[in-house]
Order: sequence, then structure tokens, then C-alpha cells
Amino acid sequence: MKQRHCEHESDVARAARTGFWSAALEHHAETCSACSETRAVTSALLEDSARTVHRPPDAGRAWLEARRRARLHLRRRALFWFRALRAVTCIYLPALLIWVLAHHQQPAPVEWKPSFHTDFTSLLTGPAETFAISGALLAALCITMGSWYLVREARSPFEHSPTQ
Amino acid sequence: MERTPGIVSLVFGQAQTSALDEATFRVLYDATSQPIRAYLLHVCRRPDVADDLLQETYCRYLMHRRTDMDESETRSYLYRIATNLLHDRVRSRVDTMVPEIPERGHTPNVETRLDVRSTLHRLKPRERELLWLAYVEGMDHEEIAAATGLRPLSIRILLFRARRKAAHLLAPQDARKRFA
Repeated sequence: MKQRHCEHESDVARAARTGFWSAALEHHAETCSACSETRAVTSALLEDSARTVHRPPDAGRAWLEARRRARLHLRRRALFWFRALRAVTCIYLPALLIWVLAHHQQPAPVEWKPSFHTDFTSLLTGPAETFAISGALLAALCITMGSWYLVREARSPFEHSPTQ
Repeated sequence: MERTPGIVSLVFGQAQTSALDEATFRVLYDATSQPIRAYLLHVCRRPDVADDLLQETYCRYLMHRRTDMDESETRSYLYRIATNLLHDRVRSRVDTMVPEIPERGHTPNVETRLDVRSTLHRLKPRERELLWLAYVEGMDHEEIAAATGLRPLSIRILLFRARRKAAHLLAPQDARKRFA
């Protein structure tokens, strides 16, 4: 019956890789079925590998591709926050229009004068105040986060290091 | 094919303490890319695909690496990424329509070359992976499990079956009858 495993398998594989065979190990590999299989398979794998030239592409390719992807990732993050800002705007613009129309139903004064002293604070009370403040905070958050990712993207180099 | 622990340790030691700059990455790449490419080429059989997968492996490593990984963990991590990419490729079955492309500088149809290569390529990709990692890279079962995502207990039996099958295929015709 053929032996499934042998404690010397790894030693046989190492010897086949390095070419350093002790007499005892060589004798064992000839008599042990598991080790003789290991020797044959390892030799075949090494033979197959030796016929092939293993010249990996330049490291710079992988480095630049990784940098490009990192920048793209940051840009996508920034885009997410600016899209969120657009969604917030889509909600708040109609709400603002409705609110303005609702608070300008009284007839316009005969002599209209442009004034920057209109007291909006008296109008922004209760739910309107909460709605307006939360909108402002959301917009600030989206702008801050989006800008932060854009700044990070701008700082990440898209070329080789100066040492290269 | 044997690793050079001195250089690799130096690289990984630096990588732990600081951000990986291009010079450090180049040393790491030079120390590890050759065996990983050989592994990829052995399993996927196409040099162009092996080069693409190698680049993808290092891109993913740079994008998702943890800074606290030591030499052994990084090596396993790179092999794990490479193995996952190989599995994705096998699952997508993109290679079934494309014939094997010979490596540059080597003449096809050489009898001796075909003997071993065609025999080994009759093994399943998973079997080729296990045999390569165990016998060419010299990984133990735990390391193979980390690199392939299999359970360590499964490695033993899967490796035995793969080795048995490979030895059977490599044996001459008359010896095969004895195997059977």
C-alpha cells in the first residue's frame, strides 16, 4: 500500500530545490513512495519553471497604477459628498421657494426701498428654524468633507518620487 | 528561487514604521515579484496575463495593506491576493477561448518542454497552486492556508491528491499501470 504522508516530504522538496542531497535522504527518497512522488513532482515543477524567463515588469508601473487608483478613489469620495450636497440643494431650494412665497402674501408697499435690515429672524421660528439650521449644517458638512478629499487628492503625488 | 531574508527583513522593517515610499516599494517588489510571477505564470499559463495579474496584485497590496504586517504576513498576503485574482480569472472563464501564448525567447513544440508542461497543465488550477506553493515555494500547510484561503486541515489531503495525480501523470505509460 502506498504511503500517504511522510515527515521527510518537506526535506525532500527542499533538497530537490537546492540540489543538496544527503546520502540518507536520497536513500529514503528512493524507498519511500510519498517522498519519491514529492521528488518527481518538485523536479518537474522546477524543470517547467527553469524553462521560463521570469522577468517581472518594472516596479514603477505598479507604483504609478496604484497612485492613479488612490487618486481616483479620493476623487470618488469627494464626488460622493458633492453629490450629497446637490441632493440637499434639491430638497432645500423648493422648500426655500415655498417658504418665501408663504411669507410674502401681504401686498407689497407702495414705495419699495431696498433694505438689508429685514428681520428674517422673526420669521425663522419653530420648525422653519430647525429646518434651515440643519440644512446649513448639512451643506457645511458636505463641502468640508468633499474639499478634504480633494485636498488629499491634490497632495498625493502622481509621479515618481524625487529619488527615482 | 530561494528568498533573501536579509533584504526582505530590512524592507519590511522600514515599511512598519513609515509610509511606503517608492524606493521602499521597489526593494520589496524586487525581492518578491519574481516568485509571485512564476506562481501566476505556472497557474494561468499565459505570460501576458501573469504580468497583468502581478501588477494588479501589487496595486491591491498598496491600496489595502496594513502597516503592522511582518515579512511572513506580507508574503502570505501577496500570495493571497494573487490566488484570489487567479480564482476570479478562472471563474470568469476568459482563458477558455484564448490559446496559451508562449514566453518570448522560447520556441514552441520542443518535445522535452511539452512533456512536462503539458502534463502539469492537465492538473486543475487549484492543484497547480497547491503543488507550487508546497514544493517550489516551500510553504508549510499553515502558510498555504493563509495564501489560498483554505482550511489548514484540508491542505494535507488536497495536497496529497494533487501530488498523487501529478506523479501519476508524470510517470511513464508502463509505470502508470503500476500506479493504477
